Amino acid sequence: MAGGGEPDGFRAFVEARSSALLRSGWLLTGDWPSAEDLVQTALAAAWPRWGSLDQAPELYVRKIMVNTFLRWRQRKWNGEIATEKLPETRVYGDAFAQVDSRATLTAALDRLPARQRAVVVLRYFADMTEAQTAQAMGCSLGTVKSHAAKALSRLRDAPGLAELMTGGVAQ
Amino acid sequence: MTLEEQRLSDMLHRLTPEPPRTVTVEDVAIHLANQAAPRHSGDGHTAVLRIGKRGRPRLAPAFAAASVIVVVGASTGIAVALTSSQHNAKAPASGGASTSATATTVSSAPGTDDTAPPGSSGTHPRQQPVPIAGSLWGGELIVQQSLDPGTLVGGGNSLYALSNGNLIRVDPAKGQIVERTSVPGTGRPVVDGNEVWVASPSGSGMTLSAFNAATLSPAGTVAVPGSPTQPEGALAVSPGGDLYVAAGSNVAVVDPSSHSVIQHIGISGGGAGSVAITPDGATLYAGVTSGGSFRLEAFNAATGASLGGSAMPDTSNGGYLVATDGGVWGTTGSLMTQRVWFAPGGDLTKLRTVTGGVDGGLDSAPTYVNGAIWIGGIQSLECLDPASGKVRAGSQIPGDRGVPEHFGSVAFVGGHAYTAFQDQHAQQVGVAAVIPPMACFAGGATGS
Repeated sequence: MAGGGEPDGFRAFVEARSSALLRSGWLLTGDWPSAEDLVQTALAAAWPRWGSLDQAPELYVRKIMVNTFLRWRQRKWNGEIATEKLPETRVYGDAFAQVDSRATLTAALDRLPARQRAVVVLRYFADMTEAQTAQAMGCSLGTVKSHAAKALSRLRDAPGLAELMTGGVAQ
Repeated sequence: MTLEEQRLSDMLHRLTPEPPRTVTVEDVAIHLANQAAPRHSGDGHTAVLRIGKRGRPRLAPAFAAASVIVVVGASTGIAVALTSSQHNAKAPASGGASTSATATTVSSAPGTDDTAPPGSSGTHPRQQPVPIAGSLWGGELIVQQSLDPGTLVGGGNSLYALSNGNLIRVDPAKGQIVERTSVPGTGRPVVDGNEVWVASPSGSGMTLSAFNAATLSPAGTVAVPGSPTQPEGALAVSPGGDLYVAAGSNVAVVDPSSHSVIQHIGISGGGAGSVAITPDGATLYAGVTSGGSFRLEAFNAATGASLGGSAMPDTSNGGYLVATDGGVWGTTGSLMTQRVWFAPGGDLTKLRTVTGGVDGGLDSAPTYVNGAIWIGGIQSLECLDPASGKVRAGSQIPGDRGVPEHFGSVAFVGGHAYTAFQDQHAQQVGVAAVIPPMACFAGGATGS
C-alpha cells in the first residue's frame, strides 16, 4: 500500500488505462459525463479488492463497468434516440460536420439493446475474446455469439453506418 | 473475426474520440468518499470530512473513506464537509404504490456530492456559496449535488430536481438540500400546487407519482394506460393545474386533485413521447414519433379535438417540448449532439434551429420561466424571446482549463435565477445561483 491506503499499482493502472476505459464508457453511454461516472464507479469498486486481483485487473474493471451500465439501463432510459439527419445544419456548419460521423455511430449504438451494445464494445472495441467477453458479462460463450450476431444484424440497418464501416472518416 | 466484424472494430477505434479529460486516482478517491459518506450518516453522530488538509478524518472507520482522505487531500485541495444527524421523517400513508417510501431530511453543501440514499440523512449549517470558474452571470455554486440533466425546476420557495434515483428539494435561501425521497422516474418533475409529480414508464403505460411538495412524502400514484415511453418531457401541467402525460397511444389528462385520469386524447400514426401546453392552456402539443420521423400534433386542450400537425422528416425523436405564445420549442439529437429547435406557430415546416444548446445534452433542454426561454449547454447560456425566438441576451460558457462547463435547466425561485451546473475539472456539480442580464427580462409574460 502507498499513499494512505492507495493499493500498489492502482495509480499506474488508472494513469495508463483510464483513457481507454473512458472511450469504452463513451461507446456504452454516449456521453462523457456518464462515461466518467461509469469508469469512476468501476475503479472505486475495484480499489478495495485491488490486491486480490491477480493478473487481470482490467478485465475485472471492465466487468464492473458493463454490469453497472446494464443496471443503469434497467433503471432508466438512457437518453434521447439519435437522429439520422439534422433538421438544420446551416447555422453550425463545420461544428456539426465534425460530429456527424460520431453522431451516426452513437445513433447506431442507441438502436442496440444494452447487452448487445455491451458485447459490441467489449468484443470489437476493447478487443476482448469471446471467452473474456462472456466472463465480463457473466454469460455463456453462446450468448455472446448470439448477442454479437444480433447486434451486427441491427447495425447493418443503421442509416449511414455502412458507409462509415467501409471507409468513412470522422473529422 | 469476419470481414464485417473487422470493419466494425476498425470503425469503433477510428471514430471513438479521445476523452476531454482522464480519470485520476483523486477522482476515484472522491467517488469512494462520497460512497462511504452515506454509510456513516444516520447513525446519530456528527462526522466531518475535511479534504484538503492532511489529518485523520473523524468518520467511523471505513476502508474507502479512511484511505481517501489522504489521497485527495494531498492532491486536490478540495474541502468537503459532511455532517449528519438522524432525522428521518416517516412518510404518511397514501393511496398509491409508493406508500412504503420514506422521505428523508438531508442537506448538502458546496464541495459535497451528497449521494445519500433514502433512509440516511443529515443537516448542517449553511455553507458559503462557492464562485465558479469564469463566473458566468456571476454564478456561484450553492449546493453541490449530482443532478439528472434537464430536471431542475422551481416551485414555491424551493427548487426540485432528480438526482440518482431520488427527488430532492433544495432550499435555495439556505443553500441546502432539505428533503429527499426515492422516485422511479427520470424526467423533469412538475410542480403542481402542493404536489410534485414525476412520470415513469410502466409495463402497460405510464405511472405518475405524486409527492408532497414540502416533505416529499409520497402522495399517491396514478396509472395511465397506454404504452411506456421515455419520461423525459412526457409530463406537462396546464395553467389550470391539469396534468398531461404522453403515454404512447394517447395523451392522458389527469386531475391532480382526485388523482384520476379524466380524459384520453388518442394518438394515431405513432406514439406520443412528449407534451406541452400553451401558456393560455388552450392548445396541447404532442410530440409523436413514427418510424424515422417526428410529428408535432396540436389538439384543443379542452375537447381533445385535433388541430392538425406537421412533421420533421428524418428525425426520430423530439423531446422536452415547451410551448409559448410564439410556437413550440424542443430538442432533438443524441446526447452530445443534441440541439434545440423552435417551430413558430407550432409548425415544424417553419422550423428554425436555435443557435444555443448544441452539444449540451439534456442540459440544453429549454425552459420557459420568468417571461423568457432559457437554453444552456456547454457552448452558451442564453435567454430568448418566447414569441419571436430571438436571442435577448447570451454569454459564451467559459471552459475551466479547457474542460467544458455545463449550464442548464434555468429555474426561478423568489425572483432569483438558478441553474444546474457542472465543472468536471473543478469537481463541482450542483445548483448554481446566477444573475441573468437585464435584457433577459424585457417585456415578457411570465412563463410556467
